[in-house]
Amino acid sequence: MKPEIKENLVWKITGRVGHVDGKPPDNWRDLLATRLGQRPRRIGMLAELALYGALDCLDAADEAILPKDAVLRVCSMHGASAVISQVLEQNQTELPMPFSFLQSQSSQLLPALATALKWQGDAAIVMARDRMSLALLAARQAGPNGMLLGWVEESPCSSQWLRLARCAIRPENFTAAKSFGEMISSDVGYWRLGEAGIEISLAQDCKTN
Amino acid sequence: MRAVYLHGFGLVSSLGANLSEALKSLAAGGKEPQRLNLPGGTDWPCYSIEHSEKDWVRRAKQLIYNAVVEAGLKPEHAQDRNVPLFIASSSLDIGAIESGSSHLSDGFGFAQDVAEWLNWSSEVYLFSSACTSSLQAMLAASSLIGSGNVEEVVVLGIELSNRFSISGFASMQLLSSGKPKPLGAERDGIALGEAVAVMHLSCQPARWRMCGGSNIVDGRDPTGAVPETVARICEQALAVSGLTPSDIGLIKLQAAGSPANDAKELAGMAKVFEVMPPLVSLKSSIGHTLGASGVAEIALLTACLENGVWPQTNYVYDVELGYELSSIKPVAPRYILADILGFGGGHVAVILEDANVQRGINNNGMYP
Repeated sequence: MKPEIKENLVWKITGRVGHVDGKPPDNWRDLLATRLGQRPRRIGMLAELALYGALDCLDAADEAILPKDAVLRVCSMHGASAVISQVLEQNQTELPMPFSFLQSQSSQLLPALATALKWQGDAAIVMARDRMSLALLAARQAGPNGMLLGWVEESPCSSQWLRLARCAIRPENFTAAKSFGEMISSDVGYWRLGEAGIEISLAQDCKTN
Repeated sequence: MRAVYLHGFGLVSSLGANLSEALKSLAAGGKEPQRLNLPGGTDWPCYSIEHSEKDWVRRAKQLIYNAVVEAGLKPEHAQDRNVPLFIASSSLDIGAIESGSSHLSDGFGFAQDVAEWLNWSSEVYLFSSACTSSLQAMLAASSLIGSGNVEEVVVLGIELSNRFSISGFASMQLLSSGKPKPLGAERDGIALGEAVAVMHLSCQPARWRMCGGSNIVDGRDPTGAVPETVARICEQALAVSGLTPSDIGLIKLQAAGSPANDAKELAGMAKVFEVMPPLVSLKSSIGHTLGASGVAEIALLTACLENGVWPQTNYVYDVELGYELSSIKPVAPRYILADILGFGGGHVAVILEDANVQRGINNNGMYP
């Protein structure tokens, strides 16, 4: 059976953060505190990095909140490794501190994000070695309000985010994406689900209806 | 969207090395949790898998292999077909790190190891959203198959022996002092468990059909459930399945024995189900198997329904909750709703259809 490809399964990249190397500015924590109105408490560095990138990405997309039916997927290959090490060490002699244990769980960045984004919806921590595969899986699950995708690592410090919104567009000049770097390049404006994976189109090559 | 079916299951749990052993054990009254000692002199209940292998990695490899084979899959299964493997786990290989047979590195490394053990050559994804991981994987698998992108997907939930999770839950004062008592008057917390659970999803017709589901993360309570969100996942799961509350003939609850969360879950369910269908919880049978729990409990529940075995409890229910777990197997429930509520504000519900049951037989019917 051939994959179901709907003509309107086209996404516009409306927000893009950290697409060059993912490295946030040195003062990202100060910027996050300013954005939130206070320093985040008890959520750990991984969640803070996720918050910084996701909020910045929504700002770039000119959205105050994430639409309720959007899909949120976050990938962190190393998770909160520093806190995990700390908890492993604490476990040698005593019970870990409760907040240390909470911060060791990558999944805890999801409620932090949901709260900051004033949103409740379909969110998950999913990992794949190939970033294109992860984007493809998310695209296949995304509904009318598109998706917010993040790749976050503590060391080296990195927070890459994309906001993609479904759009009605005349599909022109879509080509199969060859690499993740190409997919998130600032020249690329649109994604489409093709039979073999994500197809991309340059921003200037598409006309919105 | 084409239909998605659950083609095969495998489960290694504290109840036994496979589903057949688990059913025998349940029919005989189940098993008591073992005790795990932690630094500081405390010890906690834990539903451990009995297995002679002491080396964490070799033990994991054998348990995973056995569960995959039980689900009707051979290690070479994925060699000549595009069968994505969705691994779901909360603790990954932290037990191997504790025992010194692995070191803390790339979190995806464990998923790659598992794929190598199984000779899995197709794509591998790792879902690690705490307790809801395997149901999230099931929803993603259903989406891929339903849209025609692949013919089949294997979801593999893995939660194996480690002190990290138990000490973490102990530090948060979430653990029971003994066997957990879901919906019980004296419920005092949860007990963790080990499990390797396999679910083989396919577009080829089988007895159990995946109707639909819903996943919502709600950050208002990072460690517990929100009743309104419990109601929303049920409503959304019913809506995408084209069903109404009265179609549901059985609800498999999260109900882990938590004083607060059990009450919140039932409060949420009551908003949707005017007449509450029969309820079941498997947490006092296999413990809370965290990231594997969704698939592990569905594997065990479908086996129970197919074979006429039903988990029994021997404690007093909390009358203030207004509901009890069903003490007898419901008569032929056609549609079953299963939910998992987790750490990290995770709420997931899925609905299954038993194709062997004709419409109209169920609707809350019970044996007299």
